Amino acid sequence: MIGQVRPSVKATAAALSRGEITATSLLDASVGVIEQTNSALKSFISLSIGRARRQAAEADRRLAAGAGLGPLDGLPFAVKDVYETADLYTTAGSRAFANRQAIRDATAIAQLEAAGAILVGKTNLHEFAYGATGENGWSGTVPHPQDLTRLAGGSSSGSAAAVATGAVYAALGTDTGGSVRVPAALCGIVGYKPTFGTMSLEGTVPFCWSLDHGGILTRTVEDLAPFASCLAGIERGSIETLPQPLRIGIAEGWADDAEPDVARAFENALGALETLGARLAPVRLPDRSEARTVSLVLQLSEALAFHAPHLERAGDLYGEDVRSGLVLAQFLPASAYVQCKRFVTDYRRTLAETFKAFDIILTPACPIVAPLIGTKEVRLSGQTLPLGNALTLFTSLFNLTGSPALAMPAGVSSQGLPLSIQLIGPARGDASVIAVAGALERHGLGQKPEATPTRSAARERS
Amino acid sequence: MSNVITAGTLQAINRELHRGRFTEDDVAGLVGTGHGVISSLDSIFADLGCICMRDLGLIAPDGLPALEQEP
Repeated sequence: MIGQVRPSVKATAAALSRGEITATSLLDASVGVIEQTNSALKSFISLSIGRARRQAAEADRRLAAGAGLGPLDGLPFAVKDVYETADLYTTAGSRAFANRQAIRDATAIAQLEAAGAILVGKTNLHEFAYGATGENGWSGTVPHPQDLTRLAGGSSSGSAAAVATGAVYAALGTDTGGSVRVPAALCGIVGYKPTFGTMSLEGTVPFCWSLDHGGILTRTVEDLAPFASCLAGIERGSIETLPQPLRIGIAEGWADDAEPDVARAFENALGALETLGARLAPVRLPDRSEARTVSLVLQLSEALAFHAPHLERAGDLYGEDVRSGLVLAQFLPASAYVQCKRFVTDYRRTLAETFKAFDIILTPACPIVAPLIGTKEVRLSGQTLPLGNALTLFTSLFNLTGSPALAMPAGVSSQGLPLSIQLIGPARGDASVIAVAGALERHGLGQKPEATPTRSAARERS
Repeated sequence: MSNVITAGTLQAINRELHRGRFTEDDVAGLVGTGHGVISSLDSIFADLGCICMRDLGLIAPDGLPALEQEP
């Protein structure tokens, strides 16, 4: 693995408040990791070092005066380069937006900065967030931090790599079909998308307004909690308690469509849940193939609505895969778009009904481990799927339903690559999702080595 | 609808309805093997045909007021 293992958010916040380390030293450590890794990983498109140094100095003054702002004060974070900033271009990973300058920061950035967190830079992505592989002919393809011959996954590829390498404590992404959860799953970290609409996307370049969710990537569920509290309004106390009784729905047949190692990790997670006292029962979910087409129609139609004027101006600067999707979009009839929006209503009602009997639905997060760079197709359950479809096989339905969903580590494959599960909750049931994920993490599922603040690259206060 | 979509059909629509927004090559590229998240044009339109023919009763599009009566 390239990079460093960071101490937890909780341990770091404690060390900061005791004056054992400084926000400036944490920032130095972040910049050090980025300098060490970015030529290989291409995680960051731009850095905000000057602004970050000023904010770190302010955080250090607050902390030294005993006036810290809370658990995020002084912690470095990053955002996918679709979140607008007043001091850096917002490229959306596209040559067509290479010099696009916003006049203010996205709301989510402002919320984190108000809590004292420090933006260090903006991360790489699949162009315009259109795609789950993270391949990008302009800003570069983010390889897997553990194996540079493989993909980190996307579209929030740089955000996942930045967290996995310890460059930042958290990174923001966006998730339209799995773009936070898929790279998190492949890179062995946590990826969470809150209930649709609860995390602000004000000031972000859209891909599909109907399906775009904000999202947060962190190393652990424990680290996620304060960021989710800040950005999605989750009460900290509400994630400490498991639903009683804990009723888990097992997506019927889904694990059968995954690679054997993934299915094994899923079975292990079920065992862990039983140990925690959960009642498990199968649940039938809407047809994934049909939902994929519904999702695609919404994505492409809305994307073309946004991009049409930009295509007129700079169509030749778009990458081939985005361009081909937009070409297809113009042949989709309006009636099909409306019918797909009716399917969304139907899916949301179906899930709401399902969640009367369950607190959480469990699925694998991704049917495959991190694929080799250059992979075009994957064979699963006797079917050949384009790689992008395979990666989002278990995630895209829950963008249609707007459900809170979280991917978390669940062990490693026989090749030593991360495996992951996905927890889905009812609309506005975010606290239960995080609570159950936290319980699984404390139980030891997907356990990672822990570092202490003094052993990290952070320098002690002099 | 499978196997009826040709590059010529799409190019004519692009030219005549969309003022040639995309190049002839862009449009021709849709016909054939899949790419990115698209498996194949024929399969998408076949699936979409089934979706569009589904009778969803009085269900309204997401985000719009429902017209059904409570059961």
